[in-house]
Amino acid sequence: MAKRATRQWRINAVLAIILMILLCGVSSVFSSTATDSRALDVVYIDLPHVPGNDKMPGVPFPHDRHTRARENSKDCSACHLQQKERFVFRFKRLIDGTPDADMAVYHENCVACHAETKSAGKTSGPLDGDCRSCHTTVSGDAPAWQPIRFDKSLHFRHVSSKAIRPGNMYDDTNCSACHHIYDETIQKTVRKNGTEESCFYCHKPQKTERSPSIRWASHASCVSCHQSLKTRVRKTGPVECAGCHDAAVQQQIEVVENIPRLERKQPDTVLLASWMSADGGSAEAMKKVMQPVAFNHVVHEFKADSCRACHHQTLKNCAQCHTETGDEKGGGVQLARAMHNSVSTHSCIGCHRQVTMTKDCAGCHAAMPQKRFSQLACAQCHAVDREAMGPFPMAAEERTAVAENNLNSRQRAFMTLADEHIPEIVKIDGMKDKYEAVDFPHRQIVRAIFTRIKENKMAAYFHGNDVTLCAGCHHNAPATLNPARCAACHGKAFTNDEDGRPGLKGAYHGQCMACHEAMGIEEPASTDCIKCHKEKG
Amino acid sequence: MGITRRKFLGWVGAATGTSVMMGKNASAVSNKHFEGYPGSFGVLHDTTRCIGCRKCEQACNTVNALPAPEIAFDDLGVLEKNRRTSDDAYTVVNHFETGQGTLPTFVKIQCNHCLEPACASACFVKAFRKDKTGAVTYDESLCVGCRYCMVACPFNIPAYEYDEAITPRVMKCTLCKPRIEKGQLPGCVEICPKEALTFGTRTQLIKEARRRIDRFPGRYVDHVYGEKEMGGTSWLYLSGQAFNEIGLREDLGVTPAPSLTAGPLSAVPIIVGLWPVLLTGIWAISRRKDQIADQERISAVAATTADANEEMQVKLAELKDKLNKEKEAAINLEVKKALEEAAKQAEAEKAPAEDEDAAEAPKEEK
Repeated sequence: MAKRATRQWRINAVLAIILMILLCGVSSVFSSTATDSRALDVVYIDLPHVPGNDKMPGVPFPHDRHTRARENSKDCSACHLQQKERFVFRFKRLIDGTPDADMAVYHENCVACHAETKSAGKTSGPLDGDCRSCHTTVSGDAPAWQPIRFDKSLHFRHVSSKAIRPGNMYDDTNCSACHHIYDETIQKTVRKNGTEESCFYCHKPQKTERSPSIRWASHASCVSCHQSLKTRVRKTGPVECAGCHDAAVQQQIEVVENIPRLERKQPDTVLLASWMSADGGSAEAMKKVMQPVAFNHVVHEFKADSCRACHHQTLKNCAQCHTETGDEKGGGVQLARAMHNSVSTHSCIGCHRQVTMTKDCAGCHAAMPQKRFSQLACAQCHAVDREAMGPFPMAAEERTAVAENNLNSRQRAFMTLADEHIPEIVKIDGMKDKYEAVDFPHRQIVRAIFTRIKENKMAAYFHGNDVTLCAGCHHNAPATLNPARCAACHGKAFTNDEDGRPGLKGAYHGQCMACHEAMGIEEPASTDCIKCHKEKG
Repeated sequence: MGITRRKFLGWVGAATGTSVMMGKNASAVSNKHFEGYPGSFGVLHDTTRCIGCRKCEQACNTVNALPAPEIAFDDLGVLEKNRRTSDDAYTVVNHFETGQGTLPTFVKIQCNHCLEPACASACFVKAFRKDKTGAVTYDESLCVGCRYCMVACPFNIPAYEYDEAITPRVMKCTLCKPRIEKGQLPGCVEICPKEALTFGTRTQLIKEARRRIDRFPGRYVDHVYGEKEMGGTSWLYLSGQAFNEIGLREDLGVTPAPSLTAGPLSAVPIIVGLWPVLLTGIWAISRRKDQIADQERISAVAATTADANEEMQVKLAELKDKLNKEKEAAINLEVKKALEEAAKQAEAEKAPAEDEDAAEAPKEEK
């Protein structure tokens, strides 16, 4: 009896395991179909909800599959209508109607095409009555979906393309093919050379009263243009979703190096001195205000990703919105704050701080406490002598001349010390009870740091004189040819110094290891003691 | 009648409820919580400085004379596994990968020496105490080995000498109290090459932590872990990543463990005190009931016996009476007969003997 029960139990267990395996298999099949439908090209069709009538979820529509199915048709016209030679990327209609009418457009046209395809003996989409085949709750973007970055390289390829024709016949550049502005007086978009700005200034993430959303605008313009060039069998950009939005495809986009400067009649140098005219610009009044800044616009253009890196709302000059005392146009943000905000990436200080955190600079700079506004060395940027200026307001050419003079007078080459001033080896024997003394290759390290930044013009300018670099390690004490030794300030640990300074061991290890980590120097590893300290024999 | 089960439970409930509420009220009146003994020590662990060299583990092993580990301290391969403290390792360093492109983070764990330790509140023999130095000390002579402390600790720290058959102990970091009292640094702090561990009074350490956050806002999460967690700990942490990503629980709240359990636990003595009183009462009541019932029974029996006796006496008397009467009647009848016979004889014979017989008959009756 007992034996029979055990046997029965075993059979049940085996059956249960088999059932579980089957279930897992089934669920994995389901989950794999789920990821398939979450493909990169999904356009989610969801008409405005009519209260009391939202029985069906929207439709995740696989766009690229449909594009490929219509391979033989020349353009997008199988599904999209045209207006003024450009496709309107709505399905089979120029403007949205009532939800009911639009629903009818989808139902009739989708099903009709599917039926036609099926009768032609091809694989087709769902037909009448297969409601849930289209209306599923699966939605969302595929993981590989990436926004496309229209970077400098891509921009230049469009600027230099011979296939693109400018919007205005008489223009000698391609700019007006894409760039347009809205003319308030005639209430139309017009194309005018020299007025180009970033698309994002008008086309916001959501559509506004005047402008469609950036998503709508870019698909309407880019895809239409690519499609029309494709029809004329020219080299052109992608028309499929994945062409722009697949992370892997993006990696293959050709990148152009050494892109020439963009031409938009922008200045080479700018004298930042808008605050000087505030008090009438008399010689007496000018003595009381901050010195102007000579700003090298060209150099910054090459360093920045795009104009938007600084000009975040418009290509007008900063002071037009950010006035000295703050204005509604600039969101109430004063000029001084806009320029010195340490968090914003659009401000001078914020952007420069980001640069100091890059590998070549971070060895020293990451260990430096973040300076407050009052701790900044004003004269490093505000370097134009007020005496050199004429009475305000000055003519534009005069201002440029002042700025150029100042920039030309600056030290451009990196200054460094001669070897004789840099001790070659420094003996460190703080841990002589455990290890042999360390022969610290002082000069080699100074030279290694120098090699990594000698080409950096920003570093050359801001490091000022030949001993500034020494202050990376010999911090806090005045930078001189004979800076204080580490042990002059660091001794026993945890001695209740109010500045919380580390002890000598903590200071050495902290500085060496933190610098190696920040600069990406993997050898010697921080945990490999005997790479620096020889074991006591 | 007497006490019902329902009533009894009601009383117990009311007693517990009152005591819990009293406890609540008492703490609500105070606007302070214990912030540690003034001048007590702690350690600030700056995880952004830690390089994961395991020197602290080694020093801890040495100063506490713990058994040599299976894997040498300079073998950093052990960092690949997440470890917890054990009876032969009061402290361990764990390794966390926190996002692409960023350097790994190392976190040293050990007893955090809570200001109001959960282990101490759970220990019913008071083997754990918060010392003035800041250390949460353990007295093995008091320990009964219940290991409630291990359950209570929110940081999973106390470990037990399971291999010790005779005198197993709970093992955890001592904050190197003996060394602190001698003016030395805790072993781990002393050896740390990066000063990732800073020793000082807890107040100083909080200031220093805030100073670092203030000077390097981009490097640190703006939070000192342990300043408030579980009512505050003597061991404090700074991090560049969210604390729960580097193995430090963020779900602990700021209430010290003892105050979470103080209410219910404070009811324990009351319940313990009430039990004998209640049970004695119940016993007394039921005993009295028995006594009364006994007495009633006895008196009832007595009464019944008395009644029966009386009745019997009456019946007996009646019976005697009846017998006497019957006898009398029979004698009278005999006398009558005899008299009649005698009369007849006298009439028939002579009359002198008639008087003597008549006088003898009543004498026989007596």
